[in-house]
Order: sequence, then C-alpha cells, then structure tokens
Amino acid sequence: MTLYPAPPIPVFPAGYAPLPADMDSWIQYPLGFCTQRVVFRAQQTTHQNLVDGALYNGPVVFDDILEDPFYGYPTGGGWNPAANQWMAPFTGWYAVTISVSVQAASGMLGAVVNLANTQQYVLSQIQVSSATVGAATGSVILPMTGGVDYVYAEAYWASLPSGNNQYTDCSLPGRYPAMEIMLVAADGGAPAAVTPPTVNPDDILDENGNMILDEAGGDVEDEGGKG
Amino acid sequence: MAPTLPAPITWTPGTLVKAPELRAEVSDTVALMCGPPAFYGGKTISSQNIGYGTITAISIDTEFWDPWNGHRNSVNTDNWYAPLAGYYLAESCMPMDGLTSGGVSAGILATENGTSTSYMGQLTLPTGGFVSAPVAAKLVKQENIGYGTGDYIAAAAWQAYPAGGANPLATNVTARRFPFLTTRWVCALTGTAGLPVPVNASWPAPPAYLTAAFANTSLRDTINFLIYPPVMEWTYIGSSQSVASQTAVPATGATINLNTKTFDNYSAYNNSTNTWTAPVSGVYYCYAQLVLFGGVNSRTIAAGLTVSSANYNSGTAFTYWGGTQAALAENDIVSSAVVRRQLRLNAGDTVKMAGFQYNSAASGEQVQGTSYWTTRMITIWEAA
Repeated sequence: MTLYPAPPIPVFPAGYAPLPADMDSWIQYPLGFCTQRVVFRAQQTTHQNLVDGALYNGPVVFDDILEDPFYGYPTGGGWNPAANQWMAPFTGWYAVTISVSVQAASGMLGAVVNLANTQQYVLSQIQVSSATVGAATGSVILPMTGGVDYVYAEAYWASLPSGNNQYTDCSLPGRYPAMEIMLVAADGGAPAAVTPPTVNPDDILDENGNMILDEAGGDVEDEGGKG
Repeated sequence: MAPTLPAPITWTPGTLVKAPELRAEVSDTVALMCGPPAFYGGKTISSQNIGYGTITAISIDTEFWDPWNGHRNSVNTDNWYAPLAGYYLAESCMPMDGLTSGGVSAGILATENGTSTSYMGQLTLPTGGFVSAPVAAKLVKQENIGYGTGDYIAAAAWQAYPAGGANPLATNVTARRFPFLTTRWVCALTGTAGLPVPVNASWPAPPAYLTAAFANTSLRDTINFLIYPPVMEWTYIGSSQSVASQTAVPATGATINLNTKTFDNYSAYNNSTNTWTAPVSGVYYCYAQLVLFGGVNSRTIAAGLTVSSANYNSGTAFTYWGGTQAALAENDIVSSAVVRRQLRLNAGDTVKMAGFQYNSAASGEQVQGTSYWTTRMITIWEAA
C-alpha cells in the first residue's frame, strides 16, 4: 500500500509548467492522504490484572496490532510495544477511542487515555456488575505533535466492596480491550514551495495553467509557449 | 472565512484544465478534509447543577479546539454553531457526582433546520462516592448556518436522583475528568452516492495522456466520494420489541431491529433483515445504543455490533459488546448502554445491532424507542 504524507494545501500556480510528478504531488498525494488518513487499531487478547483502589491501571497492554501503517514514521512513530504507546506520525488532531473490559465483578470501570504522560482524560466511567462481565468505552479528539506526542490506554478500576483486584476480560473476541485512533485533522504545514518554471516537453499545463483534452479525450495539446 | 464545500465538475474532451479550477476542487477539498469543521470543548473551570429529570445543556467554558470559531466563552456558551452545512458526528461525556440511586446520562442537544432536538445516550447506574461518566453519540444534521442564529450542537446532561426525587446534581470537574463535547463534520447534506473508494492513481506521463475519464475518476469522483462517503443512522421507534434475558453475555447477540431511517446515503441498511452491509471497503466508525425499559429485576445491559467479516474471528459472525454495565433496578426508568468500534470491513461485510440484558426474573425487557430515548446505530466511512 502506498502511504502518503500529511500534505500542505496544494497550490496551482498559473503560468507554471508542471510535470506529471507535480500533478502527483499536488493531486494524487493530498487526495490519497485524505482517502487513506492515519489509522491505528489494536486489541488485547491476553488478560491483564487491574489493581483495585480507584487506580488508573496502565498502560493497557495491546498484544494484537490490527493495523499501524505508519509504524516507524517518523523515527519511532507508530506503536511502541515496549512502552505500549502510540506516537502520532503527523501533527494534527486524532480521535482516540478506548474500550476496556473486566471479568464479572462489582465495581467502577473507566476507559482512560493518557496523552504524553502529561494529561489523563477519562472517556467513560460506569458501574459494572458481578452478574456478568463488564466493559466501558469512550472517545475524545486530542492534539498531537507528529514524532513527539504519544498516547496510551489506561483502565480505572475500583471494586465494590474494595479490595478485589480483577482481570480484563479477553474471553471472547467481542470483549477484547481495544485502542483505536483516527486522524481527524492534519496540519500539513505551509504550501509546498513552487520551483521556477522550466522548459520540459512533458508539460501538461500551458503558461496560463491550462491543459487541454483533445476532442477524443486523448492527447494533451501543446498550446505553445511553455516554460 | 467559512469552509468551502467543493463542487467538482464533469470533465469532457476539450475541457480546459485551469489552475483556478484545480484550486477550487483540489485545494478546497484538501483544506476541508484536513481541517474539517470540528470542535472539542469542556466544562473544566466549574461544575454545573443539573435539575431532576431535565435535559440540560452544558455551558462550555474551555475551548480545546475550535478552528472555525463556532463557540464563544462569553455568549451562547452552551452552543457550538456549525460553519458548514452537513452531517456532524457529535459525542459527549458527562461525569456526574456520585449518587445512591437513580441514574445519570449524557446526551446531545441540537437545533436541526431550526427545530430543537434532544438525544440521550448512555444511562448509567451511579454509586455513592464514585463518579459516573456516561457517554453519547449522535449524527446531527446542520442546515441553517450562522453564528448565533443558525443550527447548533450542545452537550447535555440528565439525572434522576433519587428515584422519584427532585434534587439537583453537579457535574464533576477534576483535571482529568470533566464534561466535554466533540463534533466533527462527516459529510455534505447531499451528494453523489454509489461511488467506489478512490484509488488516487498517478497522473499520466508521456506517452500516456490525460483523458476525461481519468480526470473524472481522479478529480470529480474522488472529491465527491470524500465529501459524501457512506454514512448511516437508523433508529428504533416503537414499543413492540423486547430483548430476552440471558445469564451470560453470548458470543453472538440477539439482533435488534431498527425501523426508522435518519440518514443512509448509500441505502446500506436493510430493515427487513436488520442488516447493515458495508457498501465499500474501509474503516468505519460504528456505534450502537440500546435503551431498555427494565424494572426492579434488571441487573445488566449491553449494546453490541454483530460483525460478519473475513477480517474478524475467521469469518464467523460474533458480537462486539459495549457495556456490559449495571442496569437500573428501578421501575419507571430506562437503562441505556452503548458500543463504539472502528472496524475495517470489506465491501459486502455486514453488521447487525445486538442487545443483551440479564434480569433476575428472567423476563424480557422492552426496547425503548420514543422521544429522546432511542435505540440506534450509526456507521460512518472514515478511511480506505
């Protein structure tokens, strides 16, 4: 799969004679990025102990990375299995959804996201019952600096009555704890610099920024005066 | 300046490819998709009292992200005004102080084409000494655009403490836990449906040449898809459906029938088979909310998404569960659970809404489908 970087808003200068590669950088890459976006999805298939005491247990360990196409971009971006955290590849705003589950027990369960070890956000906190397994899920949109900021999931657990540690519930695929991230908005930076026009027979725009399809939808006509 | 919704042209042989045209189509699309109308705000400075049984808009006092300036901290503090017509995904989280009975809920208040609407989400059973933080999600239509005069979206809270009582209850505010609202534009009001996922091919290089067909695929259809992707919300309106009691959460849940379309631009939900079929491949935001009218014997409730896809569980259908949460064991009050997942699906994969409840009397519970307590499912295509 071709991965496209976060784009600047493309500029189409009139009077510039672009190459096909220019059209790719102006059209294919930005629209490709908008189509593809940045996605991260992971789940936990092996249960994890949740310590009681109204504690924020974390990070939640995700042992099954479903997709992380920008792993390693930029250096160290994407999922870090040693720290159980995900680093944003690009600067922008990301929708982060955390789902946590617990084996049958009475208590308060919370889904929490931790941004860069500096800020926790409680996304959901509900009472669960000893009658059945329990789960909580919530989401938020967070700002992240590409190659710098990271997030990890935490699970709040307070048993009722107190004193009962409990495990996350991974008994069925439909109950796996999960972290899902989707890019909502990207800061692609300043518009790409435009290099001076050059003479090139492969030009497909004329000096006015015009390109012409022939009557059969075929060859590009050279209007002359390019570059 | 308000965001611009692109209106791509159809290319024909002889069409001039002009720089202004490309700016209006490609640049505006990239600007919209990389910087969509969106909002994230919270009530972080002070708490707010919520009256008994009253859906109350939350006064947002902190703007974390408001790139289109749809919210002001000085006036109309409840409301975020959309800068661009379209459908928005609105989500809220509503921490409320501990209770000993009754219930607390998060919701979304809005005006849609000038009409006030209210939608409640998760309703949780609180516990004395602990904070409950239910959540809500809703697809909201915004047509009338204008700050202070147009359609708007707000987070809402609701509480019933104690059961049959009339006490105000405060929202909870700490550094990590506070009421918040997020919104984001997901698609235009109208558009072209039935398009494939864009392939974003390289532009032709000599000796290949640009054709109208290529331009229509790579510009018109790509842009039309991105601004009008598959989006669906169906709800259940009625009182004739119930969910049987089960003692354990099953691998595959009982299907919930949805009978009323809010929006379904790709006609993907079949309410005869109660099945939503992914019209194209991609990653979808999937949300379901189950509202049950239980009673004193209610114990737990869960909402589910039953997925049938080769991408999961070796292709065998199973249910992603949200909750299970404790249900309100009281008469004359509902319980509401939600599930939310981002699922990678192939075209033709199916998702059904599922429900679960455990009742100590082993009795069925009625699915709630009236007023602002509605059972519903949302799907939004988000990425290829």
